[in-house]
Amino acid sequence: MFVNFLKLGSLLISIVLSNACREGSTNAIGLSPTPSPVPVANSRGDRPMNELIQKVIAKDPTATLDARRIGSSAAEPLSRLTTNEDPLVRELALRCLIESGGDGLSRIFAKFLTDEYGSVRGAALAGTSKYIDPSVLPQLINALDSSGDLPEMREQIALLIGRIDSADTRELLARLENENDQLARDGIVAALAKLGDQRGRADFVDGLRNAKGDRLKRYLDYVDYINQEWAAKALGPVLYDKTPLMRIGIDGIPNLGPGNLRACDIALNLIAKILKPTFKFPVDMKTNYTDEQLQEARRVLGVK
Amino acid sequence: MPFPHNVYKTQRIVPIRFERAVIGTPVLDMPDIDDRGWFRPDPAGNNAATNDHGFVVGVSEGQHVYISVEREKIEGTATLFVKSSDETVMTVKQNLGADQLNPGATTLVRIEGVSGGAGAIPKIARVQVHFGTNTGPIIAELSVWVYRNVNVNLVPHNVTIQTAAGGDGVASAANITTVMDTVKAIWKAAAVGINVAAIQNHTVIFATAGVANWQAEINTLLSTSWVPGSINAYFINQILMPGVPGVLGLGISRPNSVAFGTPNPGIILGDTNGGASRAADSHYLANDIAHEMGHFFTLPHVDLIDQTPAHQGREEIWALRMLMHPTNTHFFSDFRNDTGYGVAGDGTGYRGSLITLKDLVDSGNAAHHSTDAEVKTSRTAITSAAGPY
Repeated sequence: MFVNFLKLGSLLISIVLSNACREGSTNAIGLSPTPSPVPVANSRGDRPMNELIQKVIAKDPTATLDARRIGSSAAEPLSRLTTNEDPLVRELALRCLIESGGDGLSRIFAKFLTDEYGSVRGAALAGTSKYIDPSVLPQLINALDSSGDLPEMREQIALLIGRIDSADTRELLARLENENDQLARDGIVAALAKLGDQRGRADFVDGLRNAKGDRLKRYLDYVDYINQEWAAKALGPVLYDKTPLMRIGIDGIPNLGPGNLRACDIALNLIAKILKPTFKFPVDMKTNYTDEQLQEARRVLGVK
Repeated sequence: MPFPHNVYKTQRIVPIRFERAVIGTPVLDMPDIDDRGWFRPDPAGNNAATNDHGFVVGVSEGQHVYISVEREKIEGTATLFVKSSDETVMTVKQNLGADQLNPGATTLVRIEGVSGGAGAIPKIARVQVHFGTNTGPIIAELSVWVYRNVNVNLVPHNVTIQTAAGGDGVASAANITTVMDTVKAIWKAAAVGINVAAIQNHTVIFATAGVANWQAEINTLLSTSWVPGSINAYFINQILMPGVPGVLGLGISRPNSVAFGTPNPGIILGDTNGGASRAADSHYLANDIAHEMGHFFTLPHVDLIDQTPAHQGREEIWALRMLMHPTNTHFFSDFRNDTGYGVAGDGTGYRGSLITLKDLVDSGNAAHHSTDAEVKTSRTAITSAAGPY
């Protein structure tokens, strides 16, 4: 435990960063046991920064709005708060970093992909996704291998790896061989497919054609993630599938539009987004398309 | 005192049942029990390893819950002991700390989560009730799924709506603090903690004091001090939507926001729809917010069936007691439709708050279970890159 003094205007207060950086922190990634204290702000101009720091320590979710307003100059003190023992403080510091921006953030976020608390991992995923760059690849591979009992994390981390063009597909193929969980396997297959691996693409198309329900929704999300022509052109069979998959209805105003987008509606939207054809009808995210409109989409793909 | 029980041919006798420890408004450490069906696949896919069946309750690591033990077909004085099948996962004691249950028809047991699953897959142990001694035959089991807590941030806004003339502002009269406490109680059953910010007070200028019109003014609301990385809940006096009378709340999750072009996602709750007022009904408002949060966590309505003019979604107790039923409150006054959550001031029954743990996809009625396993779905969504915000 250490005490850090922050000066707010003329008011000197002490903030106890309880166990903020104690050795043997609950963070599973082995953070530095003795990080520097949160910077002391002395001038009146530092007041917004101090208030931001206080809010994060107090676990006030509105801190993210302050971080967005302050911008990248908040990154350094926020990054120090990511080592706090309290998972809520860690999560909030990461969410503030997402809003503030700053240099080298992807590696900071990636450190927390193996945090023992799910909401910290979620914030780390969101941050890594927003600020991803190739330098983070070794951390992602390590996090993938360290998420043994978290198949949903393995899926998400694989998807991040697939966004790095320089990623070695052999690394992912090796993990695929040993992966037994369907969710994690699907994520690895999607990543391989995005990276151009031919086996990955074949497996992906097979998965897309056989998936049902929530898994089909996930595969449609993967098509959006892959965002390549071959994936859009594999959507032909889904244009026949009228299973409701995504709720867009707003409770309280049930007549505003369809309650759900069906598999075929999502597929048509993806075809429009990726292939950019000219349809005779408007495409949006709130329409159940007619059979004629779905047929027009099939013609775009060159299928019956 | 023994009691006679005549059996014709064969009958399955249930000596003991487990129940939610309270009736009415949800309480933080008294979660509902997923007692739907008798068999469920193990969430890790390893059925042989656990082979448990029957009722399931969700518990957070490091925290406790109370569950009611009901002596259904066994004497109130029968000697019963309660034990955990795996104390590295959870411990269980009679309410006052002993292993032996109190005599009487009903008693509470206290279950403490010791070590939970960090993600969507729980660690599992069973509460076992032994007859006679603490190693006697097991006559009842309750499966306990322990999870490590995941956090969701929520920012409540109390918005005063006034006209340009000023001096006529009307704010929400809801007791937002009480509402949020109940929201926390509902989601605690999924080991989802809600980190609630202090109430943010704002004033906006709209055409009519106290009223927000769909859609332009709603859009303005959703841009008012909207906090990223949180679910934003706006409490106002009234929502007005031309042609749609009676709107009390709107839940606009991220997909809704994209589809209908709102500037941000958010939940908007009105105290009144011009007729009925729910401002004083914190249970109702909390259930609505908790339900909308379910949509933010990608949960659809029960069995994918929405409310229509002809039907209030699925109309049986199985569905009415679930948080993700489309209707709060329901009009079925028959005792068989009592969800156990009480009746609102207008005589209608509150929607239940059960967030399903089991995934009964292997049942004979599997077609109607595509929306099961809501705890798993929610926790997966909350901890994903897209997140719930």
